[in-house]
Amino acid sequence: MRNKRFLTLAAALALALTAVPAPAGAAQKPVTVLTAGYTEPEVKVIVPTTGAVFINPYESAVRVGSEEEAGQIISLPSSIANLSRMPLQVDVTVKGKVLEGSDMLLSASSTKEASSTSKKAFMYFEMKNVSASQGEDPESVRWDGTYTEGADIIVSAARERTVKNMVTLAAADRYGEVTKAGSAAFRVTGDAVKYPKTAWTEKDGVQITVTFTFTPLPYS
Amino acid sequence: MKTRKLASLGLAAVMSLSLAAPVFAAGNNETVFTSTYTEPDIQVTVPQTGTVALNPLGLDIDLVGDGSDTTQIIKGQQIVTTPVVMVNNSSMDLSVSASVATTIAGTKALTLTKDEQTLLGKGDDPEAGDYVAPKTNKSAFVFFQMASTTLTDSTDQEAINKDAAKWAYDYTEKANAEGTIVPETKGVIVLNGTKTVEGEDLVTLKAARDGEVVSGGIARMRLCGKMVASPKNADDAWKADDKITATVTFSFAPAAAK
Repeated sequence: MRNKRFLTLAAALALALTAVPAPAGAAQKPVTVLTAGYTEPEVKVIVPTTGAVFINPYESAVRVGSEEEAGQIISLPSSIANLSRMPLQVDVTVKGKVLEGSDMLLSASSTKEASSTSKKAFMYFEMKNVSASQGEDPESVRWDGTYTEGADIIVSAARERTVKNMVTLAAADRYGEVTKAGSAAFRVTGDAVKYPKTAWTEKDGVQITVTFTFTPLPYS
Repeated sequence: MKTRKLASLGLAAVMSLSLAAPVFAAGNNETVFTSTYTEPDIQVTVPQTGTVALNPLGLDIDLVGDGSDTTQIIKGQQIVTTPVVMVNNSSMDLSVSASVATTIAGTKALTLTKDEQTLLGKGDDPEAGDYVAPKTNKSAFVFFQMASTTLTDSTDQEAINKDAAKWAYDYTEKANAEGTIVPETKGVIVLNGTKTVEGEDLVTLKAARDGEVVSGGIARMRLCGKMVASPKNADDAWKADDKITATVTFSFAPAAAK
């Protein structure tokens, strides 16, 4: 009887070893849960809080950075720089307000051709990327000196004006450092009536508020 | 001589009786073989969870946590999964199949498209017969994907990250005989927000040898896909509460010999 049991077990083992197994692991069904979420990308841009614009109708020499300029509307060099990990579209809105006590006016067009004797200044905001060819220095940006409709923004006291996608700022590198074309210089420039009926005084001036809007762009 | 013959016969009879003893003892003439099947021991390590970044702008994503000085970066992909792998410790090659159940959450829920073409559009001429306009609302085309690797150490996070950083977006699709767009890339299950979808033989995991994982014994997996980078309407903008949860249930079968 003992021998028979032994033989039966041996036969069963032999059959088991040669049998073709049915699909294995049917009972084993592990699960992985993958959760996908969206995190708002952080926009980090260095923006100056103040700037200076000189109304210089008599075209005196004014030191701007390392150079002297003799324009009628002169800005100290200013720039913004992108520290974000993505490129940014920059929209700009500009609003002007004549200072209290001043009787000057803001002109919607250049005063150069007009024979006006009103105390007027034509001011516009312009902006461009600081590129490697220009030494990556906001002070060394070369401006063309002419107003371009659609690209530049005329400073108006009557209404704010906006230009969308004025420049694109390239993304910062992986260490958060500003890259080529990751910064843009801007200035306010223009012209003024040199000899108005009412002379220019120190009370004359304009407060210009520039609002930047940054929109992340797809990485190309 | 006769005595010898008788003696031989007697001895043979004794020997025969002793060999046949069990049958006589049981009192019948049957032998019963009982055969049983033993489930092969499948030992696969599967991650319980995984994290995926919805990255509509395709920003660089650092793979951190490997303790190395060289951070790996995934570039330009819109759906990026923190690297996860599946490991075969079994002594047989395994074919991996899976089903994926998807849930979508968000104040304004995103829409999943059934194929890539529906999301990205097709052609430039709206007058053309096969023109498909690209989606501009909050939409995404998302798929679960598996592929084998040459990795042999599932604890070497640096190597896993390097492998993941090299895993480019490699999805292609084609129209089948019925005209339905289906994945051409192997190992892909396209997510569907309303029903569970299944995929068979996504990848083959090589058997371990002498208990050691071999090249081909570790498979990488991910959610991947494309998204509308900047939805047209402001109320469609991607929000922090936008979420896709994919519950992937795996099954394994011994792989057919190749």
